Amino acid sequence: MKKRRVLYIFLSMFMFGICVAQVEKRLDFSGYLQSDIRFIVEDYRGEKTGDGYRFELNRNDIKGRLKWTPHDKVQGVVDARFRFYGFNESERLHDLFRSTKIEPYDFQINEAYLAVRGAPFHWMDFRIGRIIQTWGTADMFNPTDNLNSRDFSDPLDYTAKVPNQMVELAFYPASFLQVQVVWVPFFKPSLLPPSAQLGFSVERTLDNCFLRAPVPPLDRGQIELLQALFASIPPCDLNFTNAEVRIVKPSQSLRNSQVGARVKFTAGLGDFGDMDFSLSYYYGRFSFPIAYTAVADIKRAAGSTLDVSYTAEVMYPRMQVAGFDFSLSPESKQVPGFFGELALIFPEKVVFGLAVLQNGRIQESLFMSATNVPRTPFIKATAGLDYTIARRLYLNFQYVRGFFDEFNDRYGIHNYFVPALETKFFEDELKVRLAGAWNLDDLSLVVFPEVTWVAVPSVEIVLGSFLYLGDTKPLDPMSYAGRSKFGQKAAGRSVAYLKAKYSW
Amino acid sequence: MKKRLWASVVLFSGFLFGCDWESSGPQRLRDAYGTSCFEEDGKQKDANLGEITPQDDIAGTYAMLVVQNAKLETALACPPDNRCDLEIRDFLLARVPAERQAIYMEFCDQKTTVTGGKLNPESRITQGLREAHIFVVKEFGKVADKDRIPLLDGIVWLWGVKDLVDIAKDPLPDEPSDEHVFDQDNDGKPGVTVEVTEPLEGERYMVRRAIWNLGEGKLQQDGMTIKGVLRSFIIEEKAIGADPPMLKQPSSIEQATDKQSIFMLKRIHERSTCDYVRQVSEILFSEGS
Repeated sequence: MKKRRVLYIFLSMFMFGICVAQVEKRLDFSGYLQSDIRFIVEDYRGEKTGDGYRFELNRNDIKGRLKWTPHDKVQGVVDARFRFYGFNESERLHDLFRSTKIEPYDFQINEAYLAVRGAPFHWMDFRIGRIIQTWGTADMFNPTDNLNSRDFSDPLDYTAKVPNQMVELAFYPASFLQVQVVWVPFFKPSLLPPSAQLGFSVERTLDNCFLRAPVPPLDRGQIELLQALFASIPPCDLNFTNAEVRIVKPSQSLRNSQVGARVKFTAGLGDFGDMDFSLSYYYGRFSFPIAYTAVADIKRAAGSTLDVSYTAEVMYPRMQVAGFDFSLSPESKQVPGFFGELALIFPEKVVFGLAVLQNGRIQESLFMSATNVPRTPFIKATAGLDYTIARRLYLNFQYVRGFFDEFNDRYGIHNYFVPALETKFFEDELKVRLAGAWNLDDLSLVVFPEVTWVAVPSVEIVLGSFLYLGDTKPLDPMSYAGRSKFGQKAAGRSVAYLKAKYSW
Repeated sequence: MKKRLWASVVLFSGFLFGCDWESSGPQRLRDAYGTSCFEEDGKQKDANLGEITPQDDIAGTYAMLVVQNAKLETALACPPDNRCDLEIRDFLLARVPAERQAIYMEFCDQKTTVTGGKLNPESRITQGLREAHIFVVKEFGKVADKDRIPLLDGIVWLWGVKDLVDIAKDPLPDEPSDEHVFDQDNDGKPGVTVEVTEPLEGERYMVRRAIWNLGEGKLQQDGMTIKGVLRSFIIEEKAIGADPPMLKQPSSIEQATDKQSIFMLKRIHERSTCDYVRQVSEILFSEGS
């Protein structure tokens, strides 16, 4: 009730602000209204085989972005979103007394900051507040872009980021040079898709007997020992519970703040157009969880049944990133645009530990450890080009080394080919796009075909699908790296979707 | 200017490489569960982690379980009119060499369960006995078939007794001062010590002889397991002292006729030790319970 009152007050103030500012022409209000319905088009990628061919999503978003410029040098920005989930979440009688259970929704402020230009010096700007930063020149796959974590809670909205509070200083010592320094006091982790928990789940046969447990990041010999240990027990006698995964959160100390600095240059290359390039540095943490510890607690249950409860911990290792990126945008339409980005990452070493407990005591012979992330620096990079042929066909090809969630742990750094083709018909009323990502190491694939119809200006109807192709079973059951990137169930569900969007 | 630039680059590089960050999962577990038994960034402390591959040959190293189902008679807890069911589970480290001419067995642990009596006695062996390295080598008398351990009669285990002329037939000593009694578990008490927790708490000092007659042990299709029947066994125990003294009461153990006794071997790493067998015994043999 209190939550709703706050929302109403906020909404009223928001609308009042719009009215006042509209009158004084100091306001820019943009946003969109979007409906999104998704249907799962397979039944083998869920926790149990047979779960599928059902609706996954029935969502409505209202997003508004308000830019208020009360003074030439000052701007306030609020970017907020209401999301209605569209599924009934009531489970008990008293849930039927509350509309939030029948109509669940949430409210999120993506950005809310104050920007001051030319103060205290004419060559300096600053911004303070809740900001989303974007660094790098590549298309989405930006290894030098680490200030905001990624928001993969919706796998189809893969460009989304987790907003964070920060202080940004920008300096302009020369027309071709920009220096940016950012301080982010608190670390926030990336949001994961709901399917991520399948990465820790125990697979069972149709008659509910144990089939497979998640492979820990250990040496092959250690994994074989563990598997032999459990293989000696009849699968139906092994009551392996799903892992409880705990997060080791960084403390709120100053040393857990994040700092980034970037120097950006622009150079004219005559007929070849302008080239932007930048050097950057980041100190902070990798925003995706890395396996840290695991405990298998074994208890004899009734009869010959053995209960195994599995608790895992994940953590966010520290890192420093030295980055370089460039983009070349030729003036001639005959020449493709090129871009590239390289991050040299200096990681914190992470040693994984696994213990088997029996009656609450560690079994010494089954206490294992192995380096999950070595201290050795490693590279994540993206290189690509984009090109428009005859104003109709847009091509974008990227080579990506290191997906968003890869950190040179025992899974390794993989290589990807990320193509996108787009063409338009009927004076741009109809747009057909085919995009995807292909893992060149295990050959799994995600394909993303989409048709967009601009029904009337500002109104888009989108029909598309997001399909994961690859082996759901481990490619090598004795290796942490032996899973298919897009094939594994943890990657997500294949869906078809229908969206309607009105933008203003 | 150039020098300053280079100095800055070197300084910055040193800063990047200089970080000695490390998060240790094993250390975190050690803090949480109080153990120090790992080698940092290594494997287990004392088990060889080579591959355990199924084989169609009985040669190899095994954790061995021998389940002896018996009837126990002892005055206070299990009198003659109400004998108890006794299950003795002996855990051994067993090796069959590549020549398949013998089996080497080392005693690792024993667990006993008594049920069905008026008062079900509870006892356990001491760590000293577990670590006493009690060995038995049993020759097959011929080269065994690849897929089975042959019938083995007269496997004799002695606790707290030495230098018998006929280890299977000579009577067990009655007194702690007997020349054949020795402190096998090295705890300063005669014979071997059994810690009794029910119905009274205390220690029982005893000598013991077990004789097993094993049936054929067949290698299972999984290439990892050998199973067989313990055709018959004889267990003699004599208390030669106790604290408190009432725990010295005599007892007799007879093979149960209503419940089969069995043995089972599970293939383990070649260089595994008794310590490993003790740690994994409950898990390995949960189906044999």
